[in-house]
Amino acid sequence: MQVEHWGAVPAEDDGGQLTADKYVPTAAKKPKLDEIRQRGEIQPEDNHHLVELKSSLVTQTIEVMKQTEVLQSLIETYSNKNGSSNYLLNPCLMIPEVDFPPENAADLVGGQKFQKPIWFTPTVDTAYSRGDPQPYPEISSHVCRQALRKVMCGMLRLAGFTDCSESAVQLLTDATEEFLRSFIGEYRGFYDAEPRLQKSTVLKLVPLERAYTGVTGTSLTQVHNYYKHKVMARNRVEIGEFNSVLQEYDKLMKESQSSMLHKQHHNEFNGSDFLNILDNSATGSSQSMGGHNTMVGDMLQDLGGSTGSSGTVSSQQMLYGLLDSQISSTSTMTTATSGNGSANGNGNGNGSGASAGASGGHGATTFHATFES
Amino acid sequence: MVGSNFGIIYHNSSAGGGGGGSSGNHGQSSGAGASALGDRERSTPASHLSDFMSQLEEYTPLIPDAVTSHYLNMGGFQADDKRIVRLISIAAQKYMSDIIDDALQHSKARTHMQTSNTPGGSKAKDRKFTLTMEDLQPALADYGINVRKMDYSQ
Repeated sequence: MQVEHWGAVPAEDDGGQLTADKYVPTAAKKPKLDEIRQRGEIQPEDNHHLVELKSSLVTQTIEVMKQTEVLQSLIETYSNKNGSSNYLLNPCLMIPEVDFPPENAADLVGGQKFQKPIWFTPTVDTAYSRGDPQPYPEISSHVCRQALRKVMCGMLRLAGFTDCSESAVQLLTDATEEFLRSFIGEYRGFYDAEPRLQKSTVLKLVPLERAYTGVTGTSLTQVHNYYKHKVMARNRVEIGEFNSVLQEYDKLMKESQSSMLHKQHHNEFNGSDFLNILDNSATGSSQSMGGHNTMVGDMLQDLGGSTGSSGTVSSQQMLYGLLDSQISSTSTMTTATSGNGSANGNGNGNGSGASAGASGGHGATTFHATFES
Repeated sequence: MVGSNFGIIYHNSSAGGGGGGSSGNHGQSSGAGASALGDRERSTPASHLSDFMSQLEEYTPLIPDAVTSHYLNMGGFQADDKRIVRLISIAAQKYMSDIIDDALQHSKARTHMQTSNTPGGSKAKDRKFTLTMEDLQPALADYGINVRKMDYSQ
């Protein structure tokens, strides 16, 4: 009785029956390798892909929010509200001019499309609307997580957060990833439940809608409402607020300039001298000063310890108060500290904006990132 | 949602009707839109959805399409239909935006409580909101994501 062993090679597979197309003779391998080498060195595939996190509407909204913050902090710095809407300007402060690019507040949304109900907008025949296949670059999970992290930072800034903790951003990134996984898992589940679609890998709309309803309890059409009311409307609101604050700032600046011109017309005080006083007080130099300068310089010396460079800000603030009384008594005018003031104001504004950007993983302001996968 | 102009009342039972074809067919039928069959299908939610999906080109999501396609590929799909990829991107963005909005409300409530308890809270500070785990946890819990610290960190 013939015993059949496991793994035994069948007798018909013995050599000699292999045809030429089933194997490469050893002697032919070397010429084949030389032929491949002659074609040139095999270059590694270029794996550098640019994943852009670019949403012009969101970027503009965040930029406009930052500009509004800068203007508001400048207004708070350079004005005192005296009960009414009129500003009592601090005569020691000259309001700096701000120059924001006008395209930052440009209308990026074509109003036509989102004004009307969406089925009144005819579908334009483009490659997108036809659904022409478009391959996406293959990126790694790590790159995806990094991209999602930056997206979360942008969304936090858009929602109104100015700062965030590291762990919260991490948690939001995890939640986004979990949502995508569970949503797509649910989507796949509808394919698996239907025998006709079990082996299909083509994206279809109806199972997607069912899966989204299963996960969130709402329809995918709500996405339109979200985009219209949360993204676009927010953009319009922020631009409107920025324009109103800018007008307020312009008004304040005109008031400041007119009062400055009025006082200069009366030739009451030389502001550049006041600047020299501040410089001297900061550096502690003992240059000779004349007229009003000598008087104020003496007063600075009387302040005691105000000659050190480390006490510049405090000494200047004390000086402002001191000069207020000085001005009232001598009817003088100053044009000084515009440089200091503007730096201070801008510093506050940019600081608040940058804090969100920095805490947000430096992705809140610019949505461009290059990832290597 | 208040102020919506989409105006679609969605029925789960009718979703699988005439709109069950491939997404490519939806786009073509909406582009032609002349036949009587097309008019009848237009009344179904799936047709509305396909029309909407074809017009998503100007809806730029924050989540890159490449990231969404990565997760679709991991789920066993061939993510080459840009319209559906984009729809998923914006849907995920909406979901996270809702959570963040809730967290902001929690943060505002907490800040308001602290400011009312502390005399002399400034207005400038009221405009600044910091997202903390304290605000994020209840917001996520509303969406079914429960966060718990590890035992050793409690």
